[in-house]
Amino acid sequence: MKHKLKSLWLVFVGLFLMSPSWAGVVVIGNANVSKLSATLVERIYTGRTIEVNGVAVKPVDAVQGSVLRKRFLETYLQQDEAKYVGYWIVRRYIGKGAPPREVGSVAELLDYVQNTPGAVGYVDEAELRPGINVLLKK
Amino acid sequence: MAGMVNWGVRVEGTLFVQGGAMVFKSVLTGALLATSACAWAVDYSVSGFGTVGYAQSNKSYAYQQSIDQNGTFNRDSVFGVQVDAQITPQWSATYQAKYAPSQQVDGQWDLTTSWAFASWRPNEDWLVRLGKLRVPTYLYSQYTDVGAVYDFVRLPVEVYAFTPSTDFIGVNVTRSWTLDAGDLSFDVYHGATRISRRLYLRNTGPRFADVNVLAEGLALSLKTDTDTYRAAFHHYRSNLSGKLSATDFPLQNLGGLGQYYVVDPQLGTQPQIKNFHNYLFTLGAEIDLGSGYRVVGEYAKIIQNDLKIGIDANGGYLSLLKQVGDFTPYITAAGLRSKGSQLSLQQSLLGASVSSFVTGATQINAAQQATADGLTVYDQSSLAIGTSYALTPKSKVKAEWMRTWVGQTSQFIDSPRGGKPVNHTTIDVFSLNYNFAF
Repeated sequence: MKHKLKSLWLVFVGLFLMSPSWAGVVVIGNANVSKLSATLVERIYTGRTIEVNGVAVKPVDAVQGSVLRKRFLETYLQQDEAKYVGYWIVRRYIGKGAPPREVGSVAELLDYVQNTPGAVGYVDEAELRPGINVLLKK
Repeated sequence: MAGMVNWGVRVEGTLFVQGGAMVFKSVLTGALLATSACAWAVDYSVSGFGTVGYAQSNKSYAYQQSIDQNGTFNRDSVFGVQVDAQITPQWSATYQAKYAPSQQVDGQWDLTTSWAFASWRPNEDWLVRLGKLRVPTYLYSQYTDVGAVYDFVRLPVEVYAFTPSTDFIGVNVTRSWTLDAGDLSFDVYHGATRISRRLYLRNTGPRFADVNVLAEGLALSLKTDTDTYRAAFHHYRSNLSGKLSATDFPLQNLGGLGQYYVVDPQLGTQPQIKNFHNYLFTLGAEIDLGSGYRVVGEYAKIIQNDLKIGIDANGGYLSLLKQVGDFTPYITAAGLRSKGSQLSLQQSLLGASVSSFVTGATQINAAQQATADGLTVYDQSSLAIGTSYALTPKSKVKAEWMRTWVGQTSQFIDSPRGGKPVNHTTIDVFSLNYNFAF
């Protein structure tokens, strides 16, 4: 019995150690984008701000339904996926712009942000590359 | 026969659809040439939407053009595709094509250009759109076709169906302010369009009258995190494709031989004008009450000063919605009533007749009835109970039961051919929709 409990405990600890440890979601940008406030991040991702300090911003999203995107929406926009998607469908069909471009993987997102002037994106802090411009961390 | 889809397809104004695409290409080319060369690559995105909608009533005659006891997909079904081109951070172009039941021929479907406009956004406070676009007449005007983003099966006809048009070729300027309370925006627009106004006469069936409309208006909107408020004013100047319109129908009393109204110049002298003006005032709000409850309401008043016989009415609705998980049940009460003098005129026309001893009596009497049928007058209210179910963030299934009480009359009803006008009755409609967007 004691042996069984110890085995169970070890399995539990093992599972805990194997599960991904999520650090915070940070907002990143191309080198020519200055630091952002939480309000500005929200306005950029809702299409209401298109320029920051003279730089035209190009926001980029993770794939719809991804854990990263869900956490970003909760942390920085206080929204869920359904509300965010619905917001952009309305905005698109009243002629006020298209939603941010979606990229398939974290690596693609990082490449896009590093290589595209004005790009703004987000990533798990644990996956930051050296030299990436961190614009905001909550 | 109502309920059967005539699969004859017209590319409505084929030239217009092609023209719409040409406008888009021209606008895109112009914007590219107008902007200075820069390293910004044009970003294209394609999106689309659709509704497969079924509606059936308990009546043999058609309500809202196509709903009767046989059931129809022609009332609510629509499919659309939109292309957005972000040319520079300030310039973009949008083109939308739509495939939906025709506004000019009953029972057919048309492929039309909904939108084709260029946008210039010099900064986040200003937005200028030029081309064919939809103006913010009502809360949901600009996305009425995208059922996936609202919970109603159908936006109340008592408000959404009695104005000339929401689509114009022209310019719309928006100025926005960021306030503590939310985002305030002010829209001003000016544009022109040509619409086909459908009339249904008991002796001939549906007829479509072309109306040229020049419109201008302004709308003030406040949008917070949870609520939306809007007030708007619109002015329409219209004419019947350059023809003169009667401003009134003088009454001719023949003593013991009856009386008739001069509904046609051939029957006598009638005052006429070329252009007539309508003024539309709208108020709307969508308010989050907390605990998943929302209330939505709109009121519209259209005034007609030039024609005693033109549309002059009040319409409104109030809806209560409650989100329960992925379901959003709702209940909506709506009403639409024309000015009393117009309802009286319609009654008088229906009762006007002359003795058979009068020369041309048959034509005179038929003209009274036809004119009564063609008057744009309403006296109806409705109660709808329905629900939406969100399958995904971009798709919904909806169901609704609606009862409409018809008072004296309603232009939304196609009264039976050769019979009496439908009045003082109730119409039940059951509807089922699947909406999607991508």
